[in-house]
This record gives sequence, C-alpha cells and structure tokens, in this order.
Amino acid sequence: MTEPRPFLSALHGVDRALAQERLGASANHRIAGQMAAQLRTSPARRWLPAVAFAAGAAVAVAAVGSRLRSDAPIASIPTAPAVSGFFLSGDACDRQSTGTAVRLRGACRARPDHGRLEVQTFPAETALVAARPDGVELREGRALFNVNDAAPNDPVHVTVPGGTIEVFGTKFFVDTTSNRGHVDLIEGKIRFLHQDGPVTQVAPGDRFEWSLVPRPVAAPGVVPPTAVEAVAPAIPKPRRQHVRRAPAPTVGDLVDEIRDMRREGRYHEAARRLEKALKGKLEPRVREVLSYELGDILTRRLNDREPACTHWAEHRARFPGGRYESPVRRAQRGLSCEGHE
Amino acid sequence: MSSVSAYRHVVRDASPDLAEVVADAYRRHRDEVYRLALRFGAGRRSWAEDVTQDVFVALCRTAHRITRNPDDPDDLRPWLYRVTANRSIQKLRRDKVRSAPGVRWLLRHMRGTEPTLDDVIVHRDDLRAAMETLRELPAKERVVFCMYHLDGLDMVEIGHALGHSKGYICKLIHRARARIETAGWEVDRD
Repeated sequence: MTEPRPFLSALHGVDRALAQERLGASANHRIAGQMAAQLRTSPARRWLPAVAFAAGAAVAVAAVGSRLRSDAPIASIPTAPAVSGFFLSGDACDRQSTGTAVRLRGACRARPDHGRLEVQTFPAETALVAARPDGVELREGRALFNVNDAAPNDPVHVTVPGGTIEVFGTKFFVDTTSNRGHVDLIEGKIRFLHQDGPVTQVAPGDRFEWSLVPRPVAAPGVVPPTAVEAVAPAIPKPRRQHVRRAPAPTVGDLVDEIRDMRREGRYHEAARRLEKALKGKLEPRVREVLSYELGDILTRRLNDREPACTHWAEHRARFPGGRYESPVRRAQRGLSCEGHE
Repeated sequence: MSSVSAYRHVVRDASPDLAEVVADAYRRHRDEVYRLALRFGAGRRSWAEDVTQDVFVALCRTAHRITRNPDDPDDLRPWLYRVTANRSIQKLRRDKVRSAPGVRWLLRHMRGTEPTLDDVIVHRDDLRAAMETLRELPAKERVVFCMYHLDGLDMVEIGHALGHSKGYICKLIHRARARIETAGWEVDRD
C-alpha cells in the first residue's frame, strides 16, 4: 500500500518552477506581429503607425534580451529586420533568401510585412514562400497557414502552383509541389480558385487536392471536384513522410521521438524504441533517465506488471541509490513486485 | 510619454494613445500571462505562447471597450487574468477535439504542431508527477482547481471570472479533487 503524496505542496512547487519562465524572443516577435496585424484591421486604423512601431519595439526588447529592464524606453530600441518580405522566428529555423522568396527549413514561423497571416513550417520540412501584397505564395513544400486578418470583402490569398486559395479567416495546411498539391482545412472557410476559372469551396475537416496534370475525362461542363470527391478512394493516398535521419540520432532526437510517441499514445512503440536505445552505448546518466522512462511507460501506460517488475529490479540493480530511487520503489510497491528484487 | 499618462487618455473612443496602452500592457504583463498559461497548460511552452498571443490579440481587439481606472496602471490585470483562464479552457478543449481519432488522422502529417518536447523541465520527481496529474484533469477542472488553490480565489470570484455559478465551481473543484486522489495523491486543505 503506497502512502498518499501531498498534492498541493507539489503543485505549489510546480508553480514556483514555472514562475522562473519568461516569454522567449521568437514568441515575443510573433505575438507583437499578431498584435500589430490585429490593430491594423481594427476600427481605429489610425493607430497603425504607433502600434507598428510599438510592436516592433516590443520585438526588439525580446531580441535584445530579457536583460533589458522592463521599463526601458520603448522608442529607443530598433526593430527586427525582415528577410525577403518576411519577419521570421523559430529557434530551429534555417532560412535562405532566394531574392523574392525565402526557403524555410525546420520549425519556422514567417509573417509577411503586411502581417495578415502566419506561415508555420515543421521539423524536417521545407517550404519555399514569397510575400505578396494580398497574402503569400507557396511555391513548394508543406506549411500550416494561420490567417486572422481576413474579411468576406477582403480575403487573404495563398497562391500555389495550379491556383489560389482564397481565405476568409482560418487555419489550414498546404502541401504542394510544382504540379500538384492539397489543402487540409482545419477550421474556418476557404475556397480554391483554379487557374482555369472554376471555384471550389472547401469545408472544415475536408481535404482538397489539385493537379496540373490533365485529367483523363474532359467532358464539357464538368463540375469541378468537390472537397468530398477530393478525398474519395480514387485519389492516390497522400505520400508518406520520409524523414531523413542522421546515422546516429542524438539523445535529443530520441527524446523528441519518445515524446511524440507518448503524445500520440504509441506506448508499445515507445517502449520498444527505449529498449533498443538502452542496448546501445549511452552515458550512465542518460541511460538512467531512459531506463526510468521505460519503466514508467511499462508501469503506468501499458500496465504490464511482469515486464515492469523485471525492469524495475534491473533498474535498481544497475543504478543503486539513483536519482529515481524513490519513485521506482513506489512503482514497485504499486505493482506488488515482491519476488522480483 | 510615460505609461501613466497614456492610461489617462484611454476612453471609449479610439485614440492614438491606445496603441501605447496596448504596448504598455504587453510589456508589463506578458510574462505574467505567459506563466499563467504555462500553468494551465501544465508546462507546455508553445501552448502557453499561443494562449499569450490569443490574449493580447484579444486585448488589441477590445482595448477601446474596456472600462479603465486611470489611477491604477495595473487595472488591466484582472481582465488579462480572466481572459487567460477562459482562453486556456477553450484551447484545452480544442486540443481534446484534435486528439480525437478522426481529427488525428487528418492531422497525422502535422506532427509537431503541438510540441510537447519543450515542456518545462521539472527536476523533482514529485513535481513532475504533480504536473502529469494536472495534465490529466479536464480543462475546466484544471483551471478552476489552480485558480482556487494556487491563486487563492474564492468560488464566487472564480464563478464571476468564468461565467459560472458558485455551485458549479464547487462541483468542479470537488471533481478535480476526486480525480487527484484517485491518482494516488492526498489533497490537503490549504
């Protein structure tokens, strides 16, 4: 029988740990940009110059660092520079300007000068984007678009090879190559304007695919494909995502991978991955952390008593008096692991 | 121009000073809002950043309608607190919808949109376990429980902030307490 632990004192401890946190520079950049965009569309458009200046300055406050006193004169700080018409942020973002466009690699957030939307790319992904006066152009790649400055009479446009996505305030994901692609509408309202004229409405939750490769049937007056048709079985499955991995993934990669698996409920896979990693060469401290993680998954997620008890016994034998001694003991008691010592 | 004088000019009509008010509120309260969101999001940094953005964008949208106290430079604080709590609940609920199997299928190629890798690292095991338990609570129970036990608000104040009756808040706190106790903790009274 395990003794109950005092929750409120632990919760206060969590709160004290969180109290050390500060908003990061890239987040500051992004939020200030969104605020400026919001104010630009508000009824009081005359705020714009002052707000843009204030937002830019707030960005710079973050960029210069939290060492700056919070009451530093905001007007004395320069604004962050733009790259090919975009303000870019993201600690793991690799960007390369190609003149009118910028190629984003990794986890980036890009906001064009006009600030009407934000483009987000993800780890191991690339996107080639160019700023346009009424939106952006995605020439190639995969990106999430978050538009919060669009109105029925003033939509934002995302141009892709094959057409234009007209946006009325929404969040959607686009994957495109030079001759085909698709858009997944997560929330909001968009429509796809084909290069040759037809218009297709896309509903939230639907995927719409387009292609510049001519369709075999070209009967006159054919109705443009609806979003429902676009996800019908006749359409090829979306291509699998191939993630290039370095020959020897770092511990950081492994932790990333495990966290993703945990988040998606793939506990068996996570346990296998950890078992495999633990067979390799690791620093003792890292091995202890991973070993604890594996035990935790076996105990709390898979409820697999026998393997969990065996694992905890091995863990304690390998790391006597280790940093997880107390929770491991609790886990063993909870599992009634007598006989596995 | 000092921030105080900027506040004095805030009235219902749009004023150029409002820009400074918003920027000033952001500078004063951004870390506080972020930390609050970080707590409600049980330590997820990106999640908290998104909530912070929502809150300040909402402030930009409504700043000219908020009744201000010109003598108190921190008078926006309660508004920011209330909006942060409500936005956190909304976002936690959206997350729940997104984790539904159908939606996950749609979003499967978008791994990383809700990073958990950037969790705040809490080194003590008991704190880490408490954060995990907090993360298991339903959205409203999590937020209400934190408001009650961490911020010391009474049930009427919480109800006022979230738009619920005292009775409902009481029920939420009791439910959260029961879940926490089921997870093997003792919820000692403050």
